[in-house]
Amino acid sequence: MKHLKTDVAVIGAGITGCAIARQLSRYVLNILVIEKEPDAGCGTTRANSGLVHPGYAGDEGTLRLTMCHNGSLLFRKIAPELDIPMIYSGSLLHAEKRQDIAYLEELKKKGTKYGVKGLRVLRGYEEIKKIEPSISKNVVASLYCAEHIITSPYEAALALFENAAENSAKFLFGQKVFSIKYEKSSKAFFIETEDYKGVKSILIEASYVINAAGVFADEIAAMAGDDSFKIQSIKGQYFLLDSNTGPHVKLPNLRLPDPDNIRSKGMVVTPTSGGNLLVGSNYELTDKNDSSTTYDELEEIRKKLSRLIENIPFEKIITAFAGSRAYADTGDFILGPIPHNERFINAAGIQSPGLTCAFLIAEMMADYLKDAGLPLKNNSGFKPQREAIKKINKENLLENNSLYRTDNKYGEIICRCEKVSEAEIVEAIKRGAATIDGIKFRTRAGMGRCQGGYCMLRVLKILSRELGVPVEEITKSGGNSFVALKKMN
Amino acid sequence: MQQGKNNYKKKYDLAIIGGGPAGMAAAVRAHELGIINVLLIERDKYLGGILPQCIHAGFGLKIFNRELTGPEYSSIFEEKIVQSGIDTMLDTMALNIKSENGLKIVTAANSSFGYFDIEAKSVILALGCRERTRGQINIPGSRPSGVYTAGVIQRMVNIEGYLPGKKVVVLGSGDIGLIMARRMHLEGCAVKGVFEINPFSTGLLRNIAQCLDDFNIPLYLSHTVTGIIGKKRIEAVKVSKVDEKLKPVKGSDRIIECDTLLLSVGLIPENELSLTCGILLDNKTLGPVVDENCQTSVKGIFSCGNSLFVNDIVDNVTQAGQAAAEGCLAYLNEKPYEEPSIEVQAGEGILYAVPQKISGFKDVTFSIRVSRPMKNAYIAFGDFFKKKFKFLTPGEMVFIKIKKDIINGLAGGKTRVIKIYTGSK
Repeated sequence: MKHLKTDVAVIGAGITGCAIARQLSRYVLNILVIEKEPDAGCGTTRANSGLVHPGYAGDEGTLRLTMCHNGSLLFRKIAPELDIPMIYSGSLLHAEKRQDIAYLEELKKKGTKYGVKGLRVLRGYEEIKKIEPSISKNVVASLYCAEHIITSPYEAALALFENAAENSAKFLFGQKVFSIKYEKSSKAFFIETEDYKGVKSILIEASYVINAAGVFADEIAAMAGDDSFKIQSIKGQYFLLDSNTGPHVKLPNLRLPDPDNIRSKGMVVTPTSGGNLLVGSNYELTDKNDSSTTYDELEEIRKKLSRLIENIPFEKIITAFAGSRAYADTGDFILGPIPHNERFINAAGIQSPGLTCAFLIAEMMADYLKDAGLPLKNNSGFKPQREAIKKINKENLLENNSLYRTDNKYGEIICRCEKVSEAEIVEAIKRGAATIDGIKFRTRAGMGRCQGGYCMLRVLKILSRELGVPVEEITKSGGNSFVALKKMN
Repeated sequence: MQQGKNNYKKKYDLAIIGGGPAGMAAAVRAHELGIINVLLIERDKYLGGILPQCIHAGFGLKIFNRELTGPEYSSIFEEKIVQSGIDTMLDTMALNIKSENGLKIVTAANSSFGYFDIEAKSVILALGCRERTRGQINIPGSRPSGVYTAGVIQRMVNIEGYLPGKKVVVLGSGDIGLIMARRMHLEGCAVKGVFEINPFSTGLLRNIAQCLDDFNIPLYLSHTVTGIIGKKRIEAVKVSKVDEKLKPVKGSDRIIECDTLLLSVGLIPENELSLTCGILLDNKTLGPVVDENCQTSVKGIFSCGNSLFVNDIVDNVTQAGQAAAEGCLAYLNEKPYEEPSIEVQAGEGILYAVPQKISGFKDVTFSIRVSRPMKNAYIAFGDFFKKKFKFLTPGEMVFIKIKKDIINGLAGGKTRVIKIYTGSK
């Protein structure tokens, strides 16, 4: 059994866990992030609408409402340091019924109260069409918000992971927390983990624990003796359309949640930061491990959003996927130490707006650790900057020769749909990608219209070569998701 | 067949994009016709396109009168290319085409030269096709590994030498699906069945006999996969019967355990490059709209093979490449060009017919795909030509040659549209 010792163990490497790790790496601390998946940002972080919300939605008195606007401001401040994509698009929230106009006015008032600027209720088709030319005549009024931002949630998590790691936070991937024991005498947690086969070979001794385990945060909290809340997984399904369809709409077009569905954020038709069109999502309570798409629900999304936006080019669908949100039965974020042990701190129930609030939650976690007696001494070597992988310029191709001169692998195109070169893939591996999906979410190789038909085997071989691992041991997304079963004789 | 430092020039009479069967045939034919200054660009490390991974026999019956394997078929053309000294750039991706003052600027990239422009008087696009994916046919379920298109598995097994799994379900009974069902069986896999959403197979009849019947692999018509099960690796699929509208019948589903789902659910002509220079596409073939010389809507750019429309057999692709080279020669020789002013329309029972435009001053062989199987039917051209068939199926393309004399009468008159349609006698 391998014995690891750390000051702080963070459980979960989603956007929240990664933001916490990066925040804590500002201090002289040993930080260990434990993640059951093979990479950062594999759960809720990977499959959502990718929007930084301005802060007009959510119930009065909830952290989800009161933290949102400040979270958004902090996101805007920090994201540029980390080269996280941000498009200041603004948004429209559409009402199809006259009686909903009053609700839009209410949201405007609420948002304004919490500091959201430039909220405007637009009435009538002509008025709305000026901002969104693809709008349907079914829309009677819309709440315009200048402060909505399009980002990429998984790129954000990966950027935070890279930067935290560069500032010497450690990450343990493919290890699931199996048990947590607290030893009063030494004031230490003993965390036992297991791999996907159930093999237990690592014991982690941590002085403090932060629980950022997403939909599984209730199970982790219970291991530490806190069974005060339950997490339900709310599944939402999306269509992703080809990477030239984004301009079909000018900005995120949000749909009011159905009245029987108030916990939902409503649906959206939005461009993504990668130029795709994203169409989703619905709302279903499901099993925590369920991320399957279903025919009926996808049809419902198609039908409902076609009422808002004209001629959504559904013939250009390249894939459909489902994401989950961690909805706590308290209805709100659960932030802070558990009742009987201030050294175990929850960052749980982070359903929307989790992406928006990640940086703010991370700052709060540092404060909770300080309150619990952890000395936070500034890390003078902290490097706040991180640069994204240099991508090929698709508009001015000859300009890529400046990249090519630094590395001739920039001349080798591996993914034909998204125009990704071998240099980018090798760089992604240097930055921690070890799976086919790890390459895909860092470089977009395999994310295009042929869905890896051309590049998947090429990426597989590059992974094998760079990692020095046989092809048949490379997985799509960890566990037993092997791409090839065995080498033939 | 290496890309050398000195074997490309800045200017060519003809640049051929794609070194698969269409591009190779075009290059060889262009050379035979006396077009000397030719460049062939191929993105893979070897010529042949998909052929090197098609190790089964059955190629060449039409052109060579014997059964060849894919690599054998390919090597015939590779050797001719080497012998004729045609400039060939392997491992090179063409990324953009611009048409300026009649000249074409092809921008390409590789690891030897970086990003560079080539100027060509004419271009033949032989870009091949790509496979339709799970996402495009909206199969619901989880997203595990083990779900691959037929071409990916074919490359994995026949080129890279890896087996994707042991228990295989095949969706789609097109030729590639049938051939890969047999291939997996021969590798010792349990092939649980081939499922086809249509009430008929789109594959060649000989392939159903030789790939399924000979090995007792069941074919389930009017069935489709309606769910994918398995968290990390595929563990099973849900299959259902479908009704006449191809919708799943409620309650007809069953679970079939597998570790691999092989998708053979259609091919899409590859035309991303064609779109970079604004070539007009046909929304039925998904390839360019062309005239009888294979010329696209951009003058001096020709299209052939599977990027023009998806062909049934490679012999047809080869002939298409040759035809494109011939069309290109006429263009380069600046022969008086007959404007293709007659529009060809696909009517009842016809999925598509190529060329979509003709001049009427040349014999034309139309490639016609019907939209559904028919018995004792005819294909008619307007009211001036009719040909009878015992059997027509979307799986087998029909070629009909129309003499210029017949069309000429029309073009001389006022007809500007020819409608092609089917009927029963």
